[in-house]
Amino acid sequence: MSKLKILIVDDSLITVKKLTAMMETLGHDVVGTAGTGGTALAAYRALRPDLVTMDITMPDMDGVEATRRIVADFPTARIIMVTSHGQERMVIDALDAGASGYVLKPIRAEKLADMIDKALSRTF
Amino acid sequence: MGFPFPGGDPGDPGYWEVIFDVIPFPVYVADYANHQIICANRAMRQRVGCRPGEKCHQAIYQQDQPCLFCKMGELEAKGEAADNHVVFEHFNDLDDCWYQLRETMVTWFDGRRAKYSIAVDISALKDVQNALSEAHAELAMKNRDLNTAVIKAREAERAKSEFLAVMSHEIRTPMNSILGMVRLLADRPLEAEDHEKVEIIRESGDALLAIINDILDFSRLEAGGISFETQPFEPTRVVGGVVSLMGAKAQEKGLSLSLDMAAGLPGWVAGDAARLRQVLINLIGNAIKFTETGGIVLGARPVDFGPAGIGIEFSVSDSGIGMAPEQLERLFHPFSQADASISRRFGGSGLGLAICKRLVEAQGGAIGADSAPGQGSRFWFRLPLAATQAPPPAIRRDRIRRLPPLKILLAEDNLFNQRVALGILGKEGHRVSVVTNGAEAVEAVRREHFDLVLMDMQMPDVDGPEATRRIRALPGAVARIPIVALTANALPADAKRCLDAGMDAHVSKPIDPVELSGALASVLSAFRDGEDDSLSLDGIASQLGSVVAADLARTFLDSGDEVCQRIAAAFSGGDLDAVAKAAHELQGLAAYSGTDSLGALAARITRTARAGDGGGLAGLVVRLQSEWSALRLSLAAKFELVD
Repeated sequence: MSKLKILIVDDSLITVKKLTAMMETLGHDVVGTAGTGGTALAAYRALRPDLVTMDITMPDMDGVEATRRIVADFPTARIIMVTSHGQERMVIDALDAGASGYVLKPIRAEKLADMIDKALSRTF
Repeated sequence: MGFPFPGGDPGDPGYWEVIFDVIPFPVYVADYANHQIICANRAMRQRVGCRPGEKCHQAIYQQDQPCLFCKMGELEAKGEAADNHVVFEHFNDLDDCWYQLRETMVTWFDGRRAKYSIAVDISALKDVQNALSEAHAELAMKNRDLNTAVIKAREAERAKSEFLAVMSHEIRTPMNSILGMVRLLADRPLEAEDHEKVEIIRESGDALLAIINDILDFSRLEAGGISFETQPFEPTRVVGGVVSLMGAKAQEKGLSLSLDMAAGLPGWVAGDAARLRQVLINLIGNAIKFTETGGIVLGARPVDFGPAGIGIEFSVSDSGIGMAPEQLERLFHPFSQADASISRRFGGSGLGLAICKRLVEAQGGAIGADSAPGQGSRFWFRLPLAATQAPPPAIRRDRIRRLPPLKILLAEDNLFNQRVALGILGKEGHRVSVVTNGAEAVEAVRREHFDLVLMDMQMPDVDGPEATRRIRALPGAVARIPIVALTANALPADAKRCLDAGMDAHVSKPIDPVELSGALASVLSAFRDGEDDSLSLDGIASQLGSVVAADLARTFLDSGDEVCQRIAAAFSGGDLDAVAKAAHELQGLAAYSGTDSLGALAARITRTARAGDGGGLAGLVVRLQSEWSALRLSLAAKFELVD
């Protein structure tokens, strides 16, 4: 897999650290992080990453809404939800908002790699 | 109070830690006011290594602030009820484990409010649950992608059908010019040999046009561009009409065409009579095509349509060549005839049955066929047709009254279409001037008086709608001149464009003479009624609706009958005063007829009778009789009055 530009959106510093380490192990480049849904769109616009990981529960705007806004402006954005919320409603909401993948915590590297592959092969 | 360890001090947290240590799950107690851990058991100390006095969010989550999900405030708000607790699942970022937490509010021994928390590691259980959720997410994503693909495919399919519809129409236009010219040519005196050639061109052209029409119909059905009417009609009348229409064709081939109608058919039903006719004609046409000897029976019987109510099953049975089961299966698929040799032998688009199937199914019905080789075939279809009330007598718009010679402006750039229109209009006795673009049309109506403009939609420079807008903007009465559009386009949006531009009606190309005369008549009568004939029955129909007008027409005819009889009786009795009185009454009635001649005649009879001129009266009374009965017929037909 070629090196991807990754944006991590998560309010938990620990999760950001873990994801960053995992992405680097997978050979990708974390080009930015955002700690709130509100800053995620601005970060996306500035960085134009190849892929976004998105937390669902964040202060101010939640991840589903942030996903919806990014996809509204960038319809081919590839966004993977990385969250501990596995309820059916959440999954459906996130996919309806335009998410390309769904990884539940605890994050495991092989699952993440698998989901990145799937998100990249999605056709719009 | 007796304590488990006599001699111990329950006020000492260490005392409780000894007891809690035997619990294999992490347990701690934290002060409600300041979140400081009061005591923690061994499992807890081993997991997070907390020191006494440390706050729970620091010890467990290494956070300076209380956790966002902290439940203490919420629990405490519920008061001091015993067993005030909450159970929830939480993922811990630090050790990557899932816990089920049970937290209970207690009053500690020194009187402080505190939280007692016990955590069970449910990571293994969560792994299974997450696998399920992720599989669910994956399915949902696939489902979404499939939906997108299906929508795209449908879109492409629709675009294809639309293209086909437009193309068929584009082919139809020159085709119609050709057929129109051939018809005009066939009307001229020709050598027998040439006449035969022209006939062959005409027949081949008709066959080709039928195929193009099938394709157009089919692609419109595929594109979803056909809507169905729900109007009252009499199925027995439709069936009877189809039999008399197709009977001649069957006879040409020496076949009989008979009708077998079961008892109990509803009188009036709500549905689409034209579409029913189309399917029947198609099936009977096929039966005639594939039957060499014997006959065809058109059947109709009531059927139960389950919860949808009642319906009618129509069937067409023939004594023709029949089909094998595998041929039957392919029958209703588009572009397939039962056998490739059949298309060579019998021609046709192979779309007829596919069109029937779609027409029937789109109305909630079913269609099928039973057959065996050499045994003939029986095609049937069932339509849900609910019985309904007979409609009130209404004006039939398709009955055309003969138009007086008109002065018409034709704006059309295509030479063939010009010739066809000129041929048709000339035959009807109209005088036609031709212009070839919209600007010339505007100029012509300004310069010269015309009764009506026939306007092509697509012309170079200034097109039909634009020219219409310009004419409508002219000063004076000319702005209200009737304008009829000639459209080559099949789509309803184009008809709307005509009307939006201010045109009064539209006629599609290729021009059908009957349709054209009908459009001219309806446009002109609407204009005349609107302007100076508002008292006539036509005027009343347009203002009050056809039901009221039909009712009035009936009354008008009854009164007229009575008055005319009175005039005739008084005349033969020699009572000229009574003739004058009755004729004067007729004068008042005549204004409703929509023609001036009846009123003028009545006035003349009144004058003649008053003058005592019995001899002059004889001719006038005879004229009145013939004029009245002609008017009676035409009004009865127009308002569909049945005696």
